[in-house]
Amino acid sequence: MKKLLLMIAAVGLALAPAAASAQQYFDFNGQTLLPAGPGGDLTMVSIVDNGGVIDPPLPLDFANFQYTLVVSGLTLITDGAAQFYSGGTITLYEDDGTPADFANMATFMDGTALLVGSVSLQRQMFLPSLGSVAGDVDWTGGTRLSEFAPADQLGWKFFSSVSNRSTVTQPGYDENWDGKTEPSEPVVETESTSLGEVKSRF
Amino acid sequence: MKLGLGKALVATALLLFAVSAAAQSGTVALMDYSGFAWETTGIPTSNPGDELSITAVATTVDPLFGVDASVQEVTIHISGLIVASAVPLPDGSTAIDYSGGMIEIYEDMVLNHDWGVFPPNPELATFTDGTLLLAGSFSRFNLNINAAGFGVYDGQIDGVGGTAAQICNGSPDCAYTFGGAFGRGVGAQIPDGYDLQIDGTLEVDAAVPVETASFGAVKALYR
Repeated sequence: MKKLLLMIAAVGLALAPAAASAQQYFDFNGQTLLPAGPGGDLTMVSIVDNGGVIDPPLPLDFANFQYTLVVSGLTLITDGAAQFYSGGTITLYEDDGTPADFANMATFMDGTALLVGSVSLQRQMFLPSLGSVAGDVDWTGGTRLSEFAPADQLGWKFFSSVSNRSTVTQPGYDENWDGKTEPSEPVVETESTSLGEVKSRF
Repeated sequence: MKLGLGKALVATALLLFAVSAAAQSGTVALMDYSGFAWETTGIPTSNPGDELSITAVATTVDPLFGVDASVQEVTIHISGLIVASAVPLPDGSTAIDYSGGMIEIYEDMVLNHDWGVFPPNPELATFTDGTLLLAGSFSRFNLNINAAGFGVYDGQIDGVGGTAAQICNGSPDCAYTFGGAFGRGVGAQIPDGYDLQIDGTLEVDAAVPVETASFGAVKALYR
């Protein structure tokens, strides 16, 4: 019994997340179309660019692919100073073909859907031209969903600044959203190890 | 040279239109960054005299700054923002005005930024190493925060030093807008000791090239 407890503790130790020495997130900068009123949908198209200085939660090949993050079908439920949206779909695309062009939203939605999930959020304008967005994301599909442990697929945060200044808002859009979506803690790789190998360490 | 009042007004109007049209063309140099902030005695409670500090790393940088963020690390350190007043607003949020404040932006070939854990100060050196890209002083900085701990910040900067301080048409006194959103760390990866996560942009307000011309040359355009 004592050995069993020791082994369970050892396995738990081996699988525990490493210390959070660095942040991981998908950093995006995009453009948003707002709904006319409650019941309408919000759409955001954006380019993911971590600049080589922030680790993405999922290994991405920025040198050979372009990554886009798209929010669609996000319905305005409650209007007011603070708006509440829910029921949206969020998708991370990988594409080495057509470069994303804000003049053509379809260029953000081609390629391979690496991650697909649901999103809900709150949007509030604090100044006439400046606001913030905060919300929740659960990843439920996509070609690389399985690279996350089940616990790492859910409970992500969505956070963004909102600006409607003409210097950052593209023609045809209502707002510029500049933000990130991230897991609650850095995702670490898991290593498959037989029980025998674990025992041999002790 | 004498110029009739009518012609002078027309010429002035045309000149102003030309400058305004250029400014609205969307040509602006941007630096996109994210990071973390902390304030003495913490946030959301801000008391007069508290100091706000921010450390951030840029993820995209306009070529006008002369650096490549994909291979160079661009880090931001803001200090000396002192709470001047905190005023509750009717919508339940609080408007905080700050005085003072300096921003320093460094470019570095070593990707070593590290926010560390509480207190943040020991890791500050990883945000202030390298070559000084821009130094500026805040002429204004405001922060609006709601009861949930989310909000926005907005400030104006006068560039006073660094290799990129003269990208506004070569002017030694560039003007910048520094703004974005912040939030508390509920479920986000905010290191211990920091109060807020931030995400925003630094915009060069006068990045549109300006051509110097004599008044006669301007008149000639409309003859």
